[in-house]
Amino acid sequence: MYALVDCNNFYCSCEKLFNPRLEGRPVIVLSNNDGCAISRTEEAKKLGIAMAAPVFMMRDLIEKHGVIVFSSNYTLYGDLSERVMETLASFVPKMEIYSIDEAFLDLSALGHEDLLSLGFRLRKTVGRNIGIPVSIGIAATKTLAKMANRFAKRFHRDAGVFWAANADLTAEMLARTAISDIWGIGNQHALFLNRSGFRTAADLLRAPEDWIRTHLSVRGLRLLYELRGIPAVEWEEESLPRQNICTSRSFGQRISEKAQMAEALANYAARCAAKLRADGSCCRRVQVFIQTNPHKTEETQYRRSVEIELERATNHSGEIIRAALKGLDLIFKPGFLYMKCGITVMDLVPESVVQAGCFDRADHLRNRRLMRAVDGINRDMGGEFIRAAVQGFERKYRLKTEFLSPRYTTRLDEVLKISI
Amino acid sequence: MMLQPFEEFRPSYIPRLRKLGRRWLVSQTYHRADQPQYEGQKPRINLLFSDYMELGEARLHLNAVKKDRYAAIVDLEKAEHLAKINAMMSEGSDYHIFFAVVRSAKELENLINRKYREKLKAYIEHQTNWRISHQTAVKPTIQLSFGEIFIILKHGNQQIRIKFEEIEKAEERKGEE
Repeated sequence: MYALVDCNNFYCSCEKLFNPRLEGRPVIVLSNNDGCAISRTEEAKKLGIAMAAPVFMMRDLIEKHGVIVFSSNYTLYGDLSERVMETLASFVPKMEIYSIDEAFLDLSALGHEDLLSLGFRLRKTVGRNIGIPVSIGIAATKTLAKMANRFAKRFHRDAGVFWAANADLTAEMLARTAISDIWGIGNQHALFLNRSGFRTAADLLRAPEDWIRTHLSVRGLRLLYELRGIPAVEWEEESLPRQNICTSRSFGQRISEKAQMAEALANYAARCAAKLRADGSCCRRVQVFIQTNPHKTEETQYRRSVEIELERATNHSGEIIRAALKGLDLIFKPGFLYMKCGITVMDLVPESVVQAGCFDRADHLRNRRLMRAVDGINRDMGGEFIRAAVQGFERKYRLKTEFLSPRYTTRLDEVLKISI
Repeated sequence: MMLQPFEEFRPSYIPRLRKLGRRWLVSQTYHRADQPQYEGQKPRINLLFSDYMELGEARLHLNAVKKDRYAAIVDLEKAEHLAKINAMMSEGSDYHIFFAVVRSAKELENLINRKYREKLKAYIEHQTNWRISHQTAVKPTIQLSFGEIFIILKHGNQQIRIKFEEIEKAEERKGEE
């Protein structure tokens, strides 16, 4: 048996936690650069605010109904997510964190436990300890648990828990779940299946294995087994090693100067290098890209990317920044208003197996010690306390965060103040 | 004859359940206690009670057995509900009430392992692709969900959860053959 625990409207719930006045009011949280709605309270959903709706298209609605808007505050959400996950982990021996607000729990070792009561206890404990409401779906496989979670949200909202404990309950859930709502069925497959006469998960369950294999490949077959209650999706307690790391952002305001672009790129490169060191890996190639705003169709567009091969795999901030700036020199063209740039570090290898170069004279041992010291200081002092000069301080390109809430749980100067 | 592992529900349980805050009982028909009927004998209806602390849990249980004509939620804090179940437990009543608890889960597992060992082996052999040597015994774990007994069998990383009734019925089918 597996459980999927999902935080309800997670980003909005995090904002509501420190601002009780938001209770019962329509609240939305916007994506990076205050672009689109990525989390909505039930009240906001009722107003017709769709997921991923651009904020400029719903200004009237926001004003008319007094919708409260927040910029995304990932520091706060990340910290609260960690607390939720820690609480969940204390209940079960095996847990897989699926996303910032979702986790699968393996309940197979809890043979004698009443799983329904466990679900209620989990919900109550997370609510009491952290203050975030969660929904819980319990079923025989991960796919069914995901479905049970959605089912709990739709049909057992008050309880917030649904356990597909027997064949009848599972059949009812399958019959009331649309094809497009099945975990693992994307838009194209949903369209194809609808055209082929499948409407619900129960319909799909009746499909012959050969037909599924032919039309949905072996992944579809795995899905069919999962729907039958036979676990076929791998359990991933630890995430797989990364193949590459990308850091890119849209700018808060479009920029045309190369110096500003270099500053942004150097910051993204430093962030990638820090992530590499945290993972204990090095990269052999660096890809840099820059682009104008493709939505401004009236303007001339420009988008280029370039890959720089490094002499020796590295995770040294200075070397990666140097490569990124070399890439920028190659592709930057003046006269455009750029909207976004980014860097991807590729061909990752473990730090311990880096191949030395023939003409390499750098003191890598010393460099590694230096980077470790920099990471330590930055961790203790917060942010990028020590940085390369090219990373600058001005950061005019910074993301637009007009409605950002304080980082209540991680910054002493932003802790909630209460007047008594 | 089906295995009947549950305790009989006694009036003395009521104040204890209320003290523990487990005020919600869900009733459902209980076939495991069915007895053969003899002519002239008044048939008794067997019911099973499951206790809950949260009304939400009780509601979910009720939803799971909603087709059962005896499915209901009993509130131990309500006088009329108490009067009804006391009447059901009284002498000469048409009902026989059981409580969804076992004296010892370990003992029940041992009993199932002893009594149904061959049937469990046959089930694993025919219904799974597990390759288990004759010497290896797969010990069952019992689980109760919504008044129904399930058996969990584990082998390596694999696990199956089956209605205990399926194992019992397999025995009957063998007898018919």
